[in-house]
Amino acid sequence: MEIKIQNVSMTYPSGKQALKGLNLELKSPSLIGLLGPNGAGKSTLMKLLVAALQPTEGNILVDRMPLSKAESHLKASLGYLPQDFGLFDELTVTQFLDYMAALKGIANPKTAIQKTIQAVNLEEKAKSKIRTLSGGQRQRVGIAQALLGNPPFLIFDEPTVGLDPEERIHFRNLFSRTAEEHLLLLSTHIIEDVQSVCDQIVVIHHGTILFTGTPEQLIQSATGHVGVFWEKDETLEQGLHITARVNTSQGIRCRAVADKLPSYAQAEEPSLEDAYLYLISREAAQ
Amino acid sequence: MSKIFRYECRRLLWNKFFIGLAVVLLLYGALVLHAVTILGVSHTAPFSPWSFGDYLSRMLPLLWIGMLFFLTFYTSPKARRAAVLMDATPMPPKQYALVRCAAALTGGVLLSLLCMGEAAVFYGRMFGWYGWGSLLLPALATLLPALVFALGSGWLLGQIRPWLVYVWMAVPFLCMALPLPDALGIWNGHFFSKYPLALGTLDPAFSMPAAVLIVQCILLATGIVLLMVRPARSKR
Amino acid sequence: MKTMRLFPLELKRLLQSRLTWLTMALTVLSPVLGLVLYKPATSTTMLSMYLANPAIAGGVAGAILFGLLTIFELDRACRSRVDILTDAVVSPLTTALTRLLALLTAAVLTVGLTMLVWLPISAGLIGSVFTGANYVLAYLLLMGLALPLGVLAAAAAYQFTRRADLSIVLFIAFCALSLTVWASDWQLCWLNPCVWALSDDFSNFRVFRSVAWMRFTWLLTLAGVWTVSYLCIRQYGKGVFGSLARSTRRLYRPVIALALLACSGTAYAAQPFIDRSNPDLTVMSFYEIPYAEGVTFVRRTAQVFPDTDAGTVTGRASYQFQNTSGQEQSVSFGINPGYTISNVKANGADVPFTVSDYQEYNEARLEVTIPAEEEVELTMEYSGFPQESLPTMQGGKELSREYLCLENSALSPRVMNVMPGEAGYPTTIEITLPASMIAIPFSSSEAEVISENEDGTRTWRYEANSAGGILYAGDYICEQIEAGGMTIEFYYGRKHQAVMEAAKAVDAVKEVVDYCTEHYGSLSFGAGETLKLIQSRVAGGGYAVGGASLLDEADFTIANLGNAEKGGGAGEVMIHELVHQWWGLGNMFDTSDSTSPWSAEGLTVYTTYRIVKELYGEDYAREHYIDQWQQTVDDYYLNFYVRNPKYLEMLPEQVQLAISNSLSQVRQYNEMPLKIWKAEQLVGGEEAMDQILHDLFNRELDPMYPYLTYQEFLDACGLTEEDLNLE
Repeated sequence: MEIKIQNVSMTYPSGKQALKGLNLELKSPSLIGLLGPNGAGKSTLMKLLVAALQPTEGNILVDRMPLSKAESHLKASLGYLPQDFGLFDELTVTQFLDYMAALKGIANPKTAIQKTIQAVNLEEKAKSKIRTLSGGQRQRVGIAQALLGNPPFLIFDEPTVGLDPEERIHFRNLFSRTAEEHLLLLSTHIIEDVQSVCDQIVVIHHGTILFTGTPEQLIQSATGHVGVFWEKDETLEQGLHITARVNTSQGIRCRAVADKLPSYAQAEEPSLEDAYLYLISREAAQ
Repeated sequence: MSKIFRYECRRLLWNKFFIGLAVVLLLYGALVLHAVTILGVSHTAPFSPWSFGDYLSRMLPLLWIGMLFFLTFYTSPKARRAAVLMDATPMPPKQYALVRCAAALTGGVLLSLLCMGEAAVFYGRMFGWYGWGSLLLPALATLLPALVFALGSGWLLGQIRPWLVYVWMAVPFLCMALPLPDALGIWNGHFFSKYPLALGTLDPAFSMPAAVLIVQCILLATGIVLLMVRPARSKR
Repeated sequence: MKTMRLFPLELKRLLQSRLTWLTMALTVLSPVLGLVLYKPATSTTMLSMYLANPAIAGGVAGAILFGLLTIFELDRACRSRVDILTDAVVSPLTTALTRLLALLTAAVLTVGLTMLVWLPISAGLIGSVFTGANYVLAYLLLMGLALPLGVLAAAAAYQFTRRADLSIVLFIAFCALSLTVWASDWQLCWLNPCVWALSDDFSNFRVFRSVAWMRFTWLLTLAGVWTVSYLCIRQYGKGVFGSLARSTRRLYRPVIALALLACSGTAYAAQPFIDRSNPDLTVMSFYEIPYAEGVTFVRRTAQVFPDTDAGTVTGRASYQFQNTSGQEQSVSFGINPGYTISNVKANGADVPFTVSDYQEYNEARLEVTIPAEEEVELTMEYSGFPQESLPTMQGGKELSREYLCLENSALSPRVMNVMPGEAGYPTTIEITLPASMIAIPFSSSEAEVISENEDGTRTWRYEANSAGGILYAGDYICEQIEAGGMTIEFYYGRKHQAVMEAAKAVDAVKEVVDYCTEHYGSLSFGAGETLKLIQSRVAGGGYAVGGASLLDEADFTIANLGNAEKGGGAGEVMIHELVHQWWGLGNMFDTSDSTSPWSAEGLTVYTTYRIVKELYGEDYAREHYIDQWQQTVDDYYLNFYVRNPKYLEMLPEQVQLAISNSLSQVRQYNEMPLKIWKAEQLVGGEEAMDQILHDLFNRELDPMYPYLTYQEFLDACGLTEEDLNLE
């Protein structure tokens, strides 16, 4: 599967421009992480990709066909989990997945449902009504309906919200395995989710792409720009962006990113989170 | 498609609201039958098609409200949150909407059958009368156009603004209060109380003048057409 | 208390909502529906048309609007999922109570605003008979109390079901019940009180009290139901019954709920306004009580003390009998069902007595055992709130400083089974009234003041000869009219003076009396040729006795003056009741067969038609009389149950009775006048009929059977029954 986003802009009727001249190529198999602060344009991009919105400028090509003409082809190949979604509380997990399978036109729904329920670890709750599930279990139902029918293109918006650490690791591994043969776009705030499994990272801010590349490339870009120091009475220099503050017995240990580190700061190997924050803060400074 | 229809019927009809509405309809219907229908309408028997039609026209407001409430299952904020998932599937939106409307119509028909059944039991117990065949035509003429029109108009309004469905629930009450032309007589019950008197015979068989028939056909057709209409709006 | 602290916040939030403002605005405007669309008060008095109808319509619309607002507001927290947050801070029970108080306060504010807005409009429409007291009471009771009921009912529905959709359906059905099926049950129609008329000229305290009782009963009921629903508010993830079990741990809560429901049940059962008379009007068992053997009536005296503030009556009655049987005898009296009897003594000694639970024609039966002595003086005391028997037409037994009407057993216990003595039933009545009222016996008797009391009251006395008797009192003006060779004392309320003069009421009365005297002959009442014509509080009809006729205030209203069709002249009910002096009293009719179409009404209605024809023209008379009779008679004979009586017998007894009662008067008031009109055509026209009727009126009476029969009428016309069959 191949998705090409060509110079796409999206301006809402209220006048807010959510995306500006976006260019991006997504090819399967890969797992692409989409990072960005709140309001960056991630959800807008996802809505454009699921044909819930139409761009005000630019084109989106799906397997070289314009999305406007290939909508049904896209939806037949799509598994989508939005950030905010609802379920039919009065149905059981199995019934709801059966319903979604019917909507997706899946030929052998029983097998598909069973496989999906196993994949999301909901066997014990398969016959329970959705209204009785916890928040994390409901999230798993959401993931399950996206995975139904093994669609070639998957979009997950904050899929691990509400999951405990063990479940998050489980789903990270699931996404990673799935991406071996599918195109998977994963939008998240949780850096660890992206770091461990994504082939490619796209960082969006204020509707434009700040970075496209591998996690290692992003980390590399922040080398020499991450340092640690003790917070004393030193005046903080302009451009210094504190990323962590830890109380220790000897004082407060600060970790910061900056274009130019101050002399009292000791350079550190950047993490992916540091690199992301450095990128964002540099863009904000500009 | 049939699976989706079955699930939608299950969602709409196997819940407290439907059961509660059915109970309210039965209670209200019993009171209407015992207080009003029992006296007979236009000098005809309580079990005449005219008295039966009058009974149904009194039940119509509650059936109308019930029908529109079924549609609010699809237009409520909760339903809209779930719709995000459904919209991402390859199911053609028009087909999906039709299936859901069919489920809502099924709910309306079931409630109507409940009202009709109650009247049948009332006639049997009170008068030992069991000629239900003669009641089919007035039932179809009174209820079917109204339910389909409620469905189509409610569906369209719900797509424009969800709260419009609630405002639309007041329509049958307005019809009862306002002076309507004879052609709309079914909507305020006057058709059943006035038209048989104009026929000039005692205990006339059920018939409808052309104007009323045309209006009911128009409403039925309008309801069907409105189901097909999708308001033009930009995707947000 | 947290509720009191949160209440102003919740009220402020509510009043800032646009939907609340919309609801309030629509409610303030809603009385206009009572002027154009919804007119349950059918009387043509100004207060009925321009005060009662708007107030009732405002109550109906306001209650529905506020009920829907209540459901919307209570569901709002659930819809927006804010309840998860708020329930962590404030108990859902406290929240529910706070919201209820805020909604009730908004309702009260709305009523106040409505009253302010509609005050000048109502005053302008009603005109000279507008009073502030009537206005305030009407809007408070007919409209104001409806809104809290709507709020409580809707809130209870939501708290039980926790679903907005089901709550709306339940609430709408509850409203629909009141408006349709319960519309004629005065205690159940919580939304649309049974107010058929408000008087322009006299007070309306009875009607207002009745509405207040009904609303108060429903307030208790719905407060109790709401309290139960309050206990069912979901807590700790429990369902209805789990939450109920949890909430009832604080014992005072279910106790309050039960107390409210118990009080409402008591109020419902113990209502003092309407009696429990047998609805079967064909049963007249009180007239079939065998006469007490050997007992004859000598004299009755009664001292009556109406309490015009409380609307109650207290009295002392004394009966003198002659008991020649040598045995104890049971004497029966009819008493008003609202009265209690006490201190029953015969010749100074207590005697046993019972009061029946069975009631008939607005009377209960008091049975007293009198001793075997030859001369018996029976005394008793009675007191209470007089009850009426027509729940949908209340107000007839109004008792206030402005007006009272005490009829028969409401005035004093009416002896039922004692033969008259040589002098008949000689009676002396003394009644103590406020100084502003004059007493008018509804008979040929005249009342006179016998004492002016220190407390500002006056005691009146009059003599009569009757086992019963009717007394009117009020702030009346009396005009003397000479017509038909007799003096007519025309009594009408002082407030009505301007309207009466504008309507030339006196001339109208003269016209009717002159017509009847000219066509049928003079009336004779024995000593003194005086006829009383008394304007009553709006009654929807009237009646007559020898020497007195009733005129309904609705016959002459400002609205009627503007009615060009009637020519601004005499009210037709007044004509009808005056004509009864000739047909029904001047000539009597046998009333033993209530199913017979022949009665005083036939000739009275026919004569009324003839007078109306002279006054307003043939077209008007034909449209409002002949055509109406024909239509009504056609409808009667077309009625399904009249054509198929076997189906009527299949119905439950109560339904059979209701149908029979509604049909019983059709033949007397419509079929018979139509037959008489047909007879007029067959005998050669109006002049010929007038001569026949003149001869019948002045015929020599058989003292054993003085009644005018249908056969006598047919014989006088030279016709048979078949000749007058209506095809």
